[in-house]
Amino acid sequence: MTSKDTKEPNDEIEGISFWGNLTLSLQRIVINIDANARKILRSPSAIFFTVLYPVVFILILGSIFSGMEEPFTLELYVQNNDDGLVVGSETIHAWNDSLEPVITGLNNSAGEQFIQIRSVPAEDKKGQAIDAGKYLEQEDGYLCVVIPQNFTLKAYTNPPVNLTIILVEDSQFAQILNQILLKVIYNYNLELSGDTEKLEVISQDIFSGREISYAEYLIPGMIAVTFMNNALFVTISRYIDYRIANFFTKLLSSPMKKSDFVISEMLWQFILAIIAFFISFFTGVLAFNLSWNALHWMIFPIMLAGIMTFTGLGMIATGIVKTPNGATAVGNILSFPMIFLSGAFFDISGIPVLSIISKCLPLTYIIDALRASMISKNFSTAWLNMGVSLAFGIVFMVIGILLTKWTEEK
Amino acid sequence: MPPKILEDTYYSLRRLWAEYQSIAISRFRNRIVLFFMLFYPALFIIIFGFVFGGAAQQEFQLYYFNADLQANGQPTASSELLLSHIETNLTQINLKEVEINLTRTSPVEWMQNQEVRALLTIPNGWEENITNPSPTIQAQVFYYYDPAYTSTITVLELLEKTVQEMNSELLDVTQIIQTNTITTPSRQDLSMIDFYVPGVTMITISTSGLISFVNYLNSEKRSGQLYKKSSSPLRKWEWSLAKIFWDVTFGLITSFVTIITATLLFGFKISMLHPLMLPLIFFGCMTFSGIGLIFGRLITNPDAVNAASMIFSFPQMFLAGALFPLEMMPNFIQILAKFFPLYYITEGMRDLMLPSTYHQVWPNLGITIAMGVGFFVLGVLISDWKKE
Repeated sequence: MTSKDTKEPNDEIEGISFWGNLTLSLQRIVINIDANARKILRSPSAIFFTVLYPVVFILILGSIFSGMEEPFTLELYVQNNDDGLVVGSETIHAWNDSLEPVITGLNNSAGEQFIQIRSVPAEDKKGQAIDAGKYLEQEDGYLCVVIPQNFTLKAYTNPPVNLTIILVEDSQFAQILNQILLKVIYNYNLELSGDTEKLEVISQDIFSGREISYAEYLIPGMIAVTFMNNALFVTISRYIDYRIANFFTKLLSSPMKKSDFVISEMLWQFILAIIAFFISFFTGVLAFNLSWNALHWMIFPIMLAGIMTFTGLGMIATGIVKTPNGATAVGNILSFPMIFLSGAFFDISGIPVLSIISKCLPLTYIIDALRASMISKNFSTAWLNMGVSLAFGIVFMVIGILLTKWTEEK
Repeated sequence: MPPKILEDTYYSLRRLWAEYQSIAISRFRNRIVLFFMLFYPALFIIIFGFVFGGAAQQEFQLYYFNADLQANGQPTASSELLLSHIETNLTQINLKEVEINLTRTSPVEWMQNQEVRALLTIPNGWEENITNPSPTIQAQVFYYYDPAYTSTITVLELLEKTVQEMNSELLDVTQIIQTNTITTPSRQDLSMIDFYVPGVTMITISTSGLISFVNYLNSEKRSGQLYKKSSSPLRKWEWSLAKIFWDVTFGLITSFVTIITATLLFGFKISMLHPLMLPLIFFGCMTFSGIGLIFGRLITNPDAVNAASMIFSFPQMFLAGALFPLEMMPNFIQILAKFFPLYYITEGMRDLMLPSTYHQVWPNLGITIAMGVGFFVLGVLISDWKKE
């Protein structure tokens, strides 16, 4: 095959005006979109999974992240070795009488007892001392307070006295419980000194008046991740598939131009993204009380910029790597860091290295633009981020088109 | 003359080995692909090391507006003391002073317009409230935050701690009870990253294994390779087993790359590894390859296969408990997690990290072996070599 034979049909058809060529171009774009639509509509599994994907994604991830706000209870293990302090006919136990009632008196947001106390025996059946740390590990607990002998006596007669807190460092429950314990002990110290807190921090969530739930903050990120995964992996799989089936070579002998083909593939992804968006949005409304106010026209140009970016990235991946496994590996390398570093699910702005990398990733700007237009309604931010996303989109599309070859692989 | 069964086994093993070699050679011949496949686990552990492993010191930007001024316009001594406390004790917080015209805008409006996530305001008369002898009046500072950024909650916790310390100093509170915090015995020499590496390794293997297997199967079908193989002496189970052996080999390479990266960059302790992790990796790879075979058979449309593999692999990544503790999740999510194979594999890996939890590994290892064998057999039984 000579280079002339493989030349793409870029030249306009002689004798036809610019508008005529444009009409023909649009016809070819519509034909390819129609072909894609028929292909998916004729496959029930494709329809099922295309619809199911955003639903599962929003439901599971929304439940995981917003579920962390739901009421829960904590278990506090206590090894109490305190003998108490005899005052007249009574024995005072500082932990049992003062600290434990405060701890067990705390309620969670559902009105249930927040902290349950589990007792750690001081000795086993053979009379051997029990190591509280080992006992905690055996019981799968996460935090244990060890109250020393003469705790009350020392607290009242010869302070300070030390309480040992043993915790499982990688447990979030342990961290929460530790903070509560430290606060209770702080207040107890304050009370014994006869003082009341002088300084106080009053915190206010800047959107508190608008009653925005945590799930609502997450939904724009989840929507962006859904259409990114779709556009990126589907582009990779389709382009590899086309190459294996020699579809590109066949297109060379058709009037279809590369630009028409790329635009039609991108527009098809955009149509799929709009469908996925509405499915995600309605799932958000039904499952997480997402407000209807979140629906705004700016979402669609932002999505188009996103689709351009990820379709372009998919084309670049298949342009660099020709085999299915290689293209998947590149797709994974592109998508997973973006999912975790773009602020879709958690904030990484406090980690200096990652926050710089995050600013280089297109998904960051798409999520920021969606969040600003859907949730915070800060449209200047939405425009700015949409502009950056569009710039990414144009650059990646151009590189993708340049790297996509229709000639047969050597 | 050897019995027929031995002869069959010999030829079967030869075909299996030949298929395995052809997969391995095709992977190793393409250096770009090899680079990306090896770079992927390294990148994964680098990201998770920084995000979850506490490998980097966090830094937060806190804007402040000090309205507590003296008659000459200079900040009061108390407000300066609070700010110096923050600067000295909270090195991870970068303070930045701002001016807000409270007659024209509120702090909330100002933050929304300026895209500021965390703002501390010290109100006018704050020092007066501190020095006021009335026990009912508290001196309050106000912290405004954007809840979309979880780092703002960390800043709030740090601020509260500093204010508590300042309270104790101002009131001269006697610390009657003090605390000494230690970690559990088995974890004493371990860091956060040590707990993440085994789980992250399995996540990497499962996601890349499943998605790449589905794509490989798809391309073999499309190119007609599978159809051609149906006319060769190669049997379906030999082909499947060869691919699974390759996945196990690559799973081990992936684990090696992850562990080496974690050791070099974050000081991961090799002593955390246990020989029983090998069968977990082996049968884990077998499980995901088997699931890939089933997906490839049941779903023929390439777009749908991608969506289906992502529906499966993505949620299980979050539900395995390797990145986010399941204990914090709603009950139904904790139940749902148990339907995903990765849950048992990562639980098994975690059990093997501490001597105190070794005894818990057996049920998880047993389930992993059963899943590996079960999904493989089912995948082989239902896979089809007919032309699409």
